[in-house]
Amino acid sequence: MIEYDTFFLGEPEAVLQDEVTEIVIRDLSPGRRKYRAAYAEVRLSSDPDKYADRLWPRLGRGQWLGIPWSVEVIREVNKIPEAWR
Amino acid sequence: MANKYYKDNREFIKGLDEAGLLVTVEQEVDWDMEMGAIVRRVCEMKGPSPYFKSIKEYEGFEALGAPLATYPKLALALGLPPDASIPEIGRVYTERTNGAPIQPVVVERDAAPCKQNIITGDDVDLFDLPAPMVHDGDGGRYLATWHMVVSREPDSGDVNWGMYRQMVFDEKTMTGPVLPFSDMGKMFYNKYVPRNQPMPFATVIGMDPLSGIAACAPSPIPEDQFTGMMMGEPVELVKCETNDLLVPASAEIIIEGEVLPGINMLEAPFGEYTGYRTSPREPRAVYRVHAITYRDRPIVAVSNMGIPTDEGQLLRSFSLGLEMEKLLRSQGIPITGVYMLPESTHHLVVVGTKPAYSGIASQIAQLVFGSKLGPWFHQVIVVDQTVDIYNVNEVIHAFSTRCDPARDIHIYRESAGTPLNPYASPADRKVGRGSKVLFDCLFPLDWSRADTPILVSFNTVYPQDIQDRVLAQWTNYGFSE
Repeated sequence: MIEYDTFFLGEPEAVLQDEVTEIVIRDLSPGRRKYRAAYAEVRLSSDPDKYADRLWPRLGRGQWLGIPWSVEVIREVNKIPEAWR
Repeated sequence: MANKYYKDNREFIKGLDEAGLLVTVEQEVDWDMEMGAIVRRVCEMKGPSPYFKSIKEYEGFEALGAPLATYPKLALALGLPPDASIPEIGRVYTERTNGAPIQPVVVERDAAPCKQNIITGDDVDLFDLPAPMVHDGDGGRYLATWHMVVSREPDSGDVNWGMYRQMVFDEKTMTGPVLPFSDMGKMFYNKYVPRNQPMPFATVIGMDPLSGIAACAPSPIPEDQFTGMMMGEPVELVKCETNDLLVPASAEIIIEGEVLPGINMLEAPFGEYTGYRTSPREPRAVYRVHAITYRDRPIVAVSNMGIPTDEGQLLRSFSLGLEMEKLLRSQGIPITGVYMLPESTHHLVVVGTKPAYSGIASQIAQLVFGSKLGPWFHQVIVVDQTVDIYNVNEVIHAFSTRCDPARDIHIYRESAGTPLNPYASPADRKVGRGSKVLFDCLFPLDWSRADTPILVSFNTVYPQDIQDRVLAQWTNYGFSE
C-alpha cells in the first residue's frame, strides 16, 4: 500500500467520491522523494478500505485531518506543455 | 576602496563562528521537519545560526540555518562589530548605498566555485538536493527560503534579484507566487506572458550575505550593482550554463531554468513571513528546471518564516525603513528618522519628525503608502522628535497618549495589499487589496503652549544640573550602572 496525502481546497464533504477526478497527490513514501507531488486522475473514497492505497486529507492551509481515506491512482497527468518539458 | 565584507557563504560562516554567533551541529539531522524546527526555534530565541554538518539521506551536503535573522548577524555581514547599534547599522548601510552604483565583473567559469559540479538535461533532479520540509503542513519542500531569483527584463536588459519562494513540485518543477506588483512579477506578466515567452531564471542558494541583503532591498538600483556598493568593489558574477543570466560566482547552488507563461500549478500553503499560513494552496507560477550547478560539499541556506524574527522580517524591515527614509528626505520632509519594527513583520513603520506644519503626518503617510514600497506594509506611526523611534516602549507610550482615536487615526481604503495579509478578508487577499492606516501621534500645532501636555521623564522635567548630579552619583546611591 502506498500512502499519499492531498489538500482539499474546499470542505471534505464537497469532495467528489468514487468518480474519476483530478487532484494533486503527494507521495509520502520515506526517502529522498518524499513529498513528490503529481497531478493525477484518481478515484477516492472516505472509506479507508475501498481502494488499495491510502490517502491522508489535509485542508487548504495544511490542517491535518487525521482521518484516512483511500485512493486509486489511475494515471499521472503532466501539466507541462510538450514544448517546455 | 573595498569595505570589510564576506566574499562568500563560507567566509561568513567562519565570521559567525568567530563572533560566537554560530552553533555547529555535528549529529545528523532530518531534512523532514527536524532541521526546520531547529531553525524556527533559533529564530524565536534570536539565537546563533545552526551549521548542520550532516543531513539525513544527503551525504555530502551541509546547511546553514537562520544566517541573518538578528541585528548582530546583519552588523557582522556589513563588516561591523556584532554589537553595533541599529542606527549605526542603518547609517553605514545608507552611506554605502547612496553613492555611485558599482557594476559587477564577470569571471570565467573556471574561476567560479559554483561550477564545480554541473548537471544538465535528463540528469537534473531536484530531489538530489536536500530541500527541507520547513514546517508540518507546508505544501511541499521549499528549497528556496534564503536565496535569490535572478531574472532580466527582456527589452531594457534590467536585472532583478529578488526573493521569491519556490516549492519543489517534482524532479524538474518548482512552483511559487510571483506577485504582479513585485519587480519580477512586472517583468513576467507585462512582458513575457503577453509574448507567450518563457522567462529565464536562476535561483541562487547560499550566496554571500551582502547579495542576500541586496535581494531583499526595495532599492531602484539593480541588485548586482547595489551589492557592489555595499562591498565597495564589484561583485563577481558568472554566466549560467543554459541561459545568459549572471549569478554570483561563489554561491553554493544555482538552479537554472524558465518560468513558463500561460500555465499555473498548485503551490503552498507555507508558513509565511507574517507568522501565519495565510495564502491557500492555489495555482501559482511554474519554474521548469534545466540545470543545477553547485560547489563541492554545498551548503544549503535555510530560513524559517513564522513568528518573529526571521531573515525576511528583519532585512525587509531594515531596508524598507531605510528606503522610506531616503524617499522622505528626498522630498524635503523634516524627518528625524524611520524605523520599521521587525516584530511587526514589516507591517508597521515609525517615522520621527520635527513637526513644522500641520498635516505633516498625513503627508508622510501618503508619500510612503503611495510609493512602490506601499503594498508591503499598512501601518504608519508618526511621532515627534522627543520619541526614540527605536525604543518600542517610548513608541507605545506616544501612541497610547497622543493619538486621538477620532482625530488622529486616518484610514486609507481600497489600497494595494498582498495576498499574504492575515487581517484581510479572503476576498481582499484574493485580489491583493488592503486598507492602510496612519496613527498621527503629534500634538496639534494649533494648541497653545499652555495647553500642550508636558512629557514627564527623567530627560525632560529636571534641570540639566540635577540630571548630571544624579547620573554622577548613581552608583554612590547604591545602584548598579
